[in-house]
Amino acid sequence: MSKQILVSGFGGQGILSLGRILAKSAIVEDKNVTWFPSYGAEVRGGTSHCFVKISKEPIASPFVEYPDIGIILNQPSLDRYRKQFKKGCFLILNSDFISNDSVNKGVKKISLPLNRMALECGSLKVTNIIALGVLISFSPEIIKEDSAIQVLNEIYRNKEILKQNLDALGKAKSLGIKN
Amino acid sequence: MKVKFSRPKSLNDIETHYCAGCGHGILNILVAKVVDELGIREKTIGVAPVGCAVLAYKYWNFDVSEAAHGRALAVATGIKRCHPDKVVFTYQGDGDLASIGMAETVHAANRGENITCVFVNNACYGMTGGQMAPTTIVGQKTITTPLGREPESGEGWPIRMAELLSGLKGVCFSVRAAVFNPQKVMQTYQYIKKAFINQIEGRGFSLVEVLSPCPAAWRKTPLESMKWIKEEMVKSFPLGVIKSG
Amino acid sequence: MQKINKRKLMSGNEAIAEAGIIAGCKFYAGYPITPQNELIAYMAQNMKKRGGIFIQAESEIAAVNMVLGAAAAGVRAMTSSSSPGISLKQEGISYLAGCELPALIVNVMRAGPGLGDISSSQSDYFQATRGGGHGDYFTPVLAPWSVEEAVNLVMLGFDIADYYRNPVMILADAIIGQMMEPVGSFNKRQFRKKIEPKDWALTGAKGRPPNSIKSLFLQEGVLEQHNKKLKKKWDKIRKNEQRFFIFDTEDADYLVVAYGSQARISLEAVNILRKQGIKAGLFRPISLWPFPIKGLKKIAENVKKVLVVEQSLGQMVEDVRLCLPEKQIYFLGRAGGGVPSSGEIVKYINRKLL
Repeated sequence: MSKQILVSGFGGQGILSLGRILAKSAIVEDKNVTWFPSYGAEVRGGTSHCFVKISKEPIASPFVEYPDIGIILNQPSLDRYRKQFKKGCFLILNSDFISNDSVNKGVKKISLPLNRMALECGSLKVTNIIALGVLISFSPEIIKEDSAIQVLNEIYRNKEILKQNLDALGKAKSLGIKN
Repeated sequence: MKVKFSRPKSLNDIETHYCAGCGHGILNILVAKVVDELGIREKTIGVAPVGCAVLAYKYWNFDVSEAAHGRALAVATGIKRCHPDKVVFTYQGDGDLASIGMAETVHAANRGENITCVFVNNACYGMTGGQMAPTTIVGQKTITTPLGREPESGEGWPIRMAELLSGLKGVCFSVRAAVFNPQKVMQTYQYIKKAFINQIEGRGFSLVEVLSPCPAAWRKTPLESMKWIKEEMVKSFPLGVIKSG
Repeated sequence: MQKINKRKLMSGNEAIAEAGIIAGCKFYAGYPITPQNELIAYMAQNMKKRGGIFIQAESEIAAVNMVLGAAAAGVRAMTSSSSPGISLKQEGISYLAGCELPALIVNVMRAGPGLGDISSSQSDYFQATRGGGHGDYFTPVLAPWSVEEAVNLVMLGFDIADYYRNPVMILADAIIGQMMEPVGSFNKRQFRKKIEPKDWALTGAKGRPPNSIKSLFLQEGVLEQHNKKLKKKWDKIRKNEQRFFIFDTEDADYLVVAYGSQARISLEAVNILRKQGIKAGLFRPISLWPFPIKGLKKIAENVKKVLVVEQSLGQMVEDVRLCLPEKQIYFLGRAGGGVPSSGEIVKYINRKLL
């Protein structure tokens, strides 16, 4: 099993950190992983993306041409990568920032108001973790919820922030959003 | 019989390559005498510049490193940070310190590196045959200012390094000396000694700028050269303590 | 409770810095430039805490000359930068080589010429493998293709530098610097040769004659003697320090030659080609100088055609052509931050080589 994931959105939406949490969760599960970011001039408000590859086998290239999974948090990102999402790909889309969510035939997608869901958990900053929860609900074979929880516990020492993140992670499940 | 003068232990007994009447001979000795007097020969590390003093490692009887043109204070920074218990100094000319190495000079001084800097100002590039230096005085004829330095025609004014660096917090001591007579030579010696003591006491960056003759490039006799420093050069570069504390 | 996994997620830049510290680097001076900023940041956070020295220098030139000072002082020292900054460091690298001082220089390459772009590139191959600065010299160049290997090569690089008393360059591209991967172990690796104590270093002439560090030799014939002595060193390095990696080359008809990140992409292409029934293999130089001539000649003996893949418009390909004059050599490269995809490589081989 090898999964190729693209995460993309505005800088400041936690794109790179979502990728890193995925990568760290993969390490918890003893899998191989590569994480490759866009870097440099993109700051808050610009577009930002990262590729994450997770596999039990050694990973050759860290680049992702045709993702298996896309976590897309804004319209410019969907417009930029639309053609690369082929049949069989699964997309998690942020309907709060995406109005035109048309995609290629055969692409599976779920559109959710991720911003609003994050605000319900107490902060817009956990939008990315809401998306992670959705991913885990749909594709637990990529990473397990327990692994993500372990990673979040390692990253966030502040109890309040940790709670927001854990709430965000469980949000999809609590709403019964699953495959 | 009592020996009153002798070669400093920190100076090797070999012939130097300096021209007759050159100030480097005097200054090489002054540095060696200070090192002897402070009893630090075995823990002194010098950094020689690119310029006429490039061969100083041959003359001094202690550890010396070469540095690329202008980079002496960067090299010295590396050495001193690795060996804070050693006494590290640079010995640089005006092209080295004030032109190509201006950035290294200003920033080493601004970081307050605990280093002693002996700056030999002879108002020209001696080694390459006497071109204009940043310290060439207004009207001074050099190979590259055949009509005399003309600030208004884009050749700039002489840079006063001792004043310039004195404005930086990291600098504890900034003076200008000269070697045109025995009295001034002795005063220069005292300044260099103070600059070394500052380092031993951990006070930060010390600069001793010394107006020094270059008879060959100035197209003057050694005596005329000393006179020219005394009568002309000091007008652009006033002598004395600019900062101490 | 799951077991704690020891592997740590790190970027190439961070791992290079950590490997340097573990290797005993006690002095780092650098200057900010993308895409290597994580490296200088890691050094800033860690060097002082762990008994080392960190200086943010006023320029790349100052940084490399500070490293020269530290190396002259007998301390393991390194600096890092990216392409435009490495151009500035060439002065210092030439002096390091001339003075026979060991130091590690890390180049996380970005696209040029000029200010170019911050995106990844492999266009400093010529500069790195041909000395780079003025004068008759070489620097051993090691090119990692993963974060884990970057760790190994930094440690090896310091050992090679100390053993031969010569600067060594780690030539990583921005993809390697920016990419994060799990790193298993930072244990210090053992170099196969004994490294002598640095009795030439400037430590104060206590109980010994003074030491001097210099690259200036003015008397007639003396510099030539020095050059010849250095040449002996280059010959020894050429003989002893060629390194490479091979994959699926045993029965290969088509050999892809690539280094650094491009070897990762080429490996993916080789895997795809094998699934298509095409006998492709990968040859990856790890040491770019000395170029692994012996290895490549042997591995390429029975292949029909060779494709060189680079993130440049063709630099290493010239060494491959020199090494394999009898073979048909093809080249696929992208420049200006463009990255050849594995799909492109597969397509190219199918169309042009078969």
